[in-house]
Amino acid sequence: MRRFLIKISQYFLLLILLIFLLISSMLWINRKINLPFTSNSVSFNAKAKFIHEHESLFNRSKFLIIGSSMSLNNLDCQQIQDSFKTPVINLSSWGMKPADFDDFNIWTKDKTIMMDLYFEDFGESDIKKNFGYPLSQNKFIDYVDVASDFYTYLACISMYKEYIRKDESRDYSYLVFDATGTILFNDPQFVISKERWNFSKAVFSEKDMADYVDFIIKKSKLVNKIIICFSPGRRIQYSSLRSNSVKGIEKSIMENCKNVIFINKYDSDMPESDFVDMCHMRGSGAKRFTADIINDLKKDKNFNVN
Amino acid sequence: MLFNSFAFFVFFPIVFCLYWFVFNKSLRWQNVLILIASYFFYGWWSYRFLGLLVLSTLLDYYFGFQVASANKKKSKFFLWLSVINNLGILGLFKYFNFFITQFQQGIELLGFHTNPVLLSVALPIGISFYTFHGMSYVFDIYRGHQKPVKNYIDYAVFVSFFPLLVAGPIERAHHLLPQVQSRRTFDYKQAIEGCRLIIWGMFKKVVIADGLASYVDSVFNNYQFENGSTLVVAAIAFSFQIYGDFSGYSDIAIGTAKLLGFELLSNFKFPYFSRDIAEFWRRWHISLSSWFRDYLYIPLGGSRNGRAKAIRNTFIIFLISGFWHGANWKFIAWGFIHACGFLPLLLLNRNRKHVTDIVAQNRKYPSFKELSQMLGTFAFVTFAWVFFRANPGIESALLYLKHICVSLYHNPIQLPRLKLLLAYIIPLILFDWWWRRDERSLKKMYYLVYIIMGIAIYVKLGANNSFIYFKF
Repeated sequence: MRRFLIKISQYFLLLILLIFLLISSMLWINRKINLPFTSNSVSFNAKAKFIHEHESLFNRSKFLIIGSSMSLNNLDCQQIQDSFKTPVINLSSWGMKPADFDDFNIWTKDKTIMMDLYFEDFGESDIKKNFGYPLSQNKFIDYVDVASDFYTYLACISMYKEYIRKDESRDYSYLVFDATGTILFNDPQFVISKERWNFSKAVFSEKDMADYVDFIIKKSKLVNKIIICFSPGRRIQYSSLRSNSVKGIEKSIMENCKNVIFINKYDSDMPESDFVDMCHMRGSGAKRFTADIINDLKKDKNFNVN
Repeated sequence: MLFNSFAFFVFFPIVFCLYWFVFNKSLRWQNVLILIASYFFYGWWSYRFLGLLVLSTLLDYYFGFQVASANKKKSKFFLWLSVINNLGILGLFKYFNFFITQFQQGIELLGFHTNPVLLSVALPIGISFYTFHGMSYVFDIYRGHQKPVKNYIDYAVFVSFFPLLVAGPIERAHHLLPQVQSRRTFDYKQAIEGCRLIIWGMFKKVVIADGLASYVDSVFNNYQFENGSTLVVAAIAFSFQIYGDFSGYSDIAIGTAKLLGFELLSNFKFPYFSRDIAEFWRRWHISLSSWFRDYLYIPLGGSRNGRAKAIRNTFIIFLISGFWHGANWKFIAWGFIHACGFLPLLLLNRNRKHVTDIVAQNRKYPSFKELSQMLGTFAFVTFAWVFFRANPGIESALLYLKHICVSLYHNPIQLPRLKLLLAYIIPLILFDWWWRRDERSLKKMYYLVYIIMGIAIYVKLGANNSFIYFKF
């Protein structure tokens, strides 16, 4: 037994040493990328990195944009910032659900939270968080995060390298945030995917919608104000059934929350040229859509950024 | 609990230490520890179904005593009761919805509308394995090959021994029970061999099978949009995925058992080096095919009562073997295809041609004839795997094959992601070829190779997929 234990210990010690060297060398090689590995989602990690790099804007901003790529691509934060004369930061990123923002500690009384929404945004998040708090910069925890799921770390780094490219071929996988954390598809050469152009989720779970309403009711008690915009999407997928669902959500939220503004644009008619796919907008469309939202907010007596 | 999970990585060393350092002086306490560990291992997945496992164990333990009775009628009665009990449990949890749905469809063909009650219960993991353990015990007692075990703990360890509890190998009472009942001593060579098997099994599962899984899944789930060569490559990739997955699991199970002083039955002996389908079935999932041979094929008369009965019996065991894998016509079709592949060998009396030897037994490389035989057998097996893998059913398999033919006719040369796939498949073939004369000769491998395997396992562990055979 003694001989066996020595042999097996030797094997594991050598393995651990080599793995340690492997992790250290990968972290060193990728040190310039400096992408925190706080989750299995490259978009979540990229946003965490953005917040690290724009910490002062994050701390100063009382007006926060959260959500998925709907908020990332459809809301022009610069315009919001200029209109309301207050710093605005866009915390949204691909595939993020409102609950994912709990890790950024945003649900406080001094904050106004805004999100753009579409049907794909209902449901539970696929993002799995690692051990480290996304905004901490604890080297040891970072190391533990990487060591605990090295494969996903490598995948995230590799994907991120692809997404932050600076070349001309822009498409949906472009992940370079502007100064406010937004990505507007301003490029006229934007590559439109046929699949995404026609994509439409056929069935929406009533339960997911009800969970969303419950979530908003709960969070509205913690913040100054929540502004929910519901995007129109391409007219080809418009249905009165879906329109009624959105109205139902709006009604449930408005009946239960005093400090929520629900701007339902699902029935709005926006031209096809404003879109790059079923629900995400071109830069020009996003600017028009944001201006429309700002107008509505300015008319709303209950709205007050401060 | 999965073998490739952090939980098992913590669980097993604790069991190992308690087993050899705390309870090593008492066989009884070692067995109690194994039983508790096995129930914990199973309960980690679902404590509710643990009750079913305990109930099934208790009933077969009781039936074993009754079957051993001198009264032949009583013995037979309890044998049937055991069979009905085990198949009843299997039937209820695994096949109930299938039979009800088939019945409903049949009735609707006659113009009647029905609204059947379907069970919405998850399939208890390992149910097909532990019920077969129980049945083999009772069958062996009935045949006089085994005496009923007096100590319940010993019997329960045989049924629920955690390395083989959820995906086999399917053990025989006369092979495992004597090991449970006799004192185990720690053997250095056996333990090292066990560790090597665990590393190799993990490598096959985590690196090779899981590495191929994402490609296979993406192609099989969207086969309508893929070209013919992609579909062919994905089918080949699935052949290696399922082999890496299941044989990897078996190696981990055998290796884990070795560390506790047990020797389990072999489950795989390089099946893709088979020269015909008969040899393939002597090398693939051996514990299941030999179970069907001993407890079904031979009692039915095997090949002794004329050619017609031999053909009938062959089809019966292949179809049942297919059905054992799942309540879906696609598995039955898979069994049927293999029966059709076996039939010519049976008719030409060539089904026992390669019983003991392995390809290129005394040579480094196979002859051209052997190579073509192996490739032919592999192509046939891969064709059958399409039925096994296609979702949701047999129609998808037929459409998948149709897409291959149509697309290859129009666009014959498009080889997708071949480099990536070969990176997974070639190491597996090379290692298997190296070890083909003796599957346990892993000791020949260099320490460095195990270190590299260890690192590769660590890196790939993030993509944590469960074992394919847990579903069966």
